[in-house]
Amino acid sequence: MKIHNKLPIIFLLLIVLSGSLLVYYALRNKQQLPHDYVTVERIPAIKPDYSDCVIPPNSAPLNFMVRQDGTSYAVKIYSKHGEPVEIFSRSPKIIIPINAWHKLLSENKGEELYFSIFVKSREGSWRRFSPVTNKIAREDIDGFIVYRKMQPTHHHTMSEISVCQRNLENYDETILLDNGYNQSDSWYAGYIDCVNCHTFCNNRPQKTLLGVRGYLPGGTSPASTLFMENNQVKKIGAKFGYTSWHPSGRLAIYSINNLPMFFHSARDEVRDTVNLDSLLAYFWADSMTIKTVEQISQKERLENWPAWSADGRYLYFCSAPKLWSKENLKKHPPDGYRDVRYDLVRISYDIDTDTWGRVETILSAKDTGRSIAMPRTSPDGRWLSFCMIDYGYFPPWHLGSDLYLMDLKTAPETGEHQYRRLEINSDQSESWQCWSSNSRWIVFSSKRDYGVFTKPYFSYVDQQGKVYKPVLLPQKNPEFYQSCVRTFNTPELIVEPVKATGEKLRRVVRNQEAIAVEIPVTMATPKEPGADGSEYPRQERE
Amino acid sequence: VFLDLGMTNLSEFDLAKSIDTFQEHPVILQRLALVNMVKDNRASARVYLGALSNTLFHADWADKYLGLLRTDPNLSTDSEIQQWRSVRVQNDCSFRDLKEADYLGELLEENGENKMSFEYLMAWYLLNGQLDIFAQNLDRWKDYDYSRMPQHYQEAILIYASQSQKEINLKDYMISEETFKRFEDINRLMMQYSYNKANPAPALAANYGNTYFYYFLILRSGLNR
Repeated sequence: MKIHNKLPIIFLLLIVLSGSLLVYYALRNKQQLPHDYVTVERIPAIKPDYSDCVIPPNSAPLNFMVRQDGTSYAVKIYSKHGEPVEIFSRSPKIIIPINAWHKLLSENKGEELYFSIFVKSREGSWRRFSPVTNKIAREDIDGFIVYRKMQPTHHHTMSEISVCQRNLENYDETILLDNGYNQSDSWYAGYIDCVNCHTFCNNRPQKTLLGVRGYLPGGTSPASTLFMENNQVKKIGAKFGYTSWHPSGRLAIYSINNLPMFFHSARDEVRDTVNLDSLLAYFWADSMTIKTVEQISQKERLENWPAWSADGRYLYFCSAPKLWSKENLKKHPPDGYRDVRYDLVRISYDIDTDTWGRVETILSAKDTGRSIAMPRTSPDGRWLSFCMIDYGYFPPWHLGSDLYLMDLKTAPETGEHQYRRLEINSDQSESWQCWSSNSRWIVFSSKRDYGVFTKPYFSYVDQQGKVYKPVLLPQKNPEFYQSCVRTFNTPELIVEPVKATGEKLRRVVRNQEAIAVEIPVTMATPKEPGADGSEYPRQERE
Repeated sequence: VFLDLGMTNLSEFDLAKSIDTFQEHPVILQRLALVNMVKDNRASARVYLGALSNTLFHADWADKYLGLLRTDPNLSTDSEIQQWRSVRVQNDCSFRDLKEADYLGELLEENGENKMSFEYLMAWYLLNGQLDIFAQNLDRWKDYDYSRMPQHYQEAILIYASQSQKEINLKDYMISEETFKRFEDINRLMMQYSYNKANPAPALAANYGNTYFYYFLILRSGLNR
């Protein structure tokens, strides 16, 4: 039989198949919520725990697992206005249709959102649980989150590491830059050793800095920073540490650190680090020059974690006295590393005249008894969030790291910077926070649910500074995190996606030439070799 | 071995480094799951077990432990986990690179009943030819249920006694007649070869290749090359 003779049969089969599918879906959509059920006066366990949260009206659907034994599941998602969303499933995996979800949320900003969950028992009877309640915020969260995805490393990484941007309204994730570990091009794979911190100006990608450390045969490891300005990408021949853009976008301030890693024999978290020496320097974007001044690069102190105030008139940072002599540095870690506690300080700055004021202490470690790290200011200028840990500078590796909030507005009136520990802290490490552009959301890293596998959570912050129960970054597959052996760290919120990604960035990285910048000072204490004479190992950070 | 010794963190550290080389091999994930269960880091353990439950050959093992974590979160009914917990080092110290002797010494200091750490520590001294420190620690052998002193220990103490010229009461160590005889035979052979300026290694290897005498006098000194 020739092909043209077969066409009618194929055509007929296609029609029958399409018809069957249509009938199947029509019948499926006609499924109705159970009428006969037993009411259970408690909410069912769901994972992730999306209950009593405040959720962004533009969030991707919060797909979840119902952790109740059953043979069938039905969920009705409803609010004050609009059509409820109904989901029927033979498995406890609840996948919410995205368009219906967005419609429901956009019609109910500021209202409660209910998940009414029905579970069919093995005996065939239905149970209806008390509804899971969340609240829909009035204010959107910025549309994208950029994070670094990697394995929990214990040394310098030779495995996959990537900086990714994720659309928060759906589940699309794109890689900005990775270390090419899975690339077949071995030259490329060998070149990028690590991609580090990413810093945006005013939650926008038009001015972005991204650290890259290369690795060449022979052991050299040139560090550079990619400077993305609008659609152009340049490579700067210097490694920027923890960085903060001035809100004007004219300069970025960053730390230069000597941060070797070491390990603990019995502590819960194996990894630890010490800031042996550091200072702050600033990079002028137009002239591509780097400067520093004495106030932020004192030889007897360790300056770290810079963060501009919303108006750019103050620079907040962490500062601690250097407790070790050069002789003591031959030990690793040096004696006294557990006694280093950082103060929160600030210094005034006039960008028009490039004039710095005097350093003033905002919150003293002597008063708190703990070490302050990772300060971030809200874009509306009202709040300053930060972490506190028992010692040192790096919260992700401290089980007891908690988030705090300081009211910057009331300080001039009351004469003191009032702060409080946030109720959303868990008994695990919370760290690295970032504010949304409208100051109503913070995203932060936490180990609360998945141990060493840090994940991003976002919390609503109301006008009075109340911070609500955090929402785990939703995934299309609600079981995703249960087997995901990756950490998602350094989360940063941006309002639109970074345009330059992938090969465009790789080309710049591969280019041997970088814009040479001269750093006006050397480290107060030059990099010390280890006790055995070897260099401290390169390492990664969460 | 680190896990058996009680060096749980060191085990975690090495396994995490192994992922760089071998990627997420199920065997590594399995050990990391165990380490985290020993440390009672249930959240981390569940993720490793979750990853393993998606594999072909380790899914049953992972599912068993995922179930156990639900019904017995402390894993009190798992004797293997309990054994590892019982020897786990408690006093925290920081390290950059492994200093085996220090770490083993700490383990032994903390838990004198940890026979395995005693044996590894002594083996470490023997391998490195640190017979003076070996001799200082040798009295501890009586704390363990040895029916007689291990042969290598007997041989090492004889070497130490002869080299250090210290007065050592060898009766304390119940050194056997055979060991004394081997020592004398080897010494005689070494002297003969020394006189003839010949390499004693081949002759000693035949009869004494499995002794500490041979390791110390020939292999460690490089005479076999």
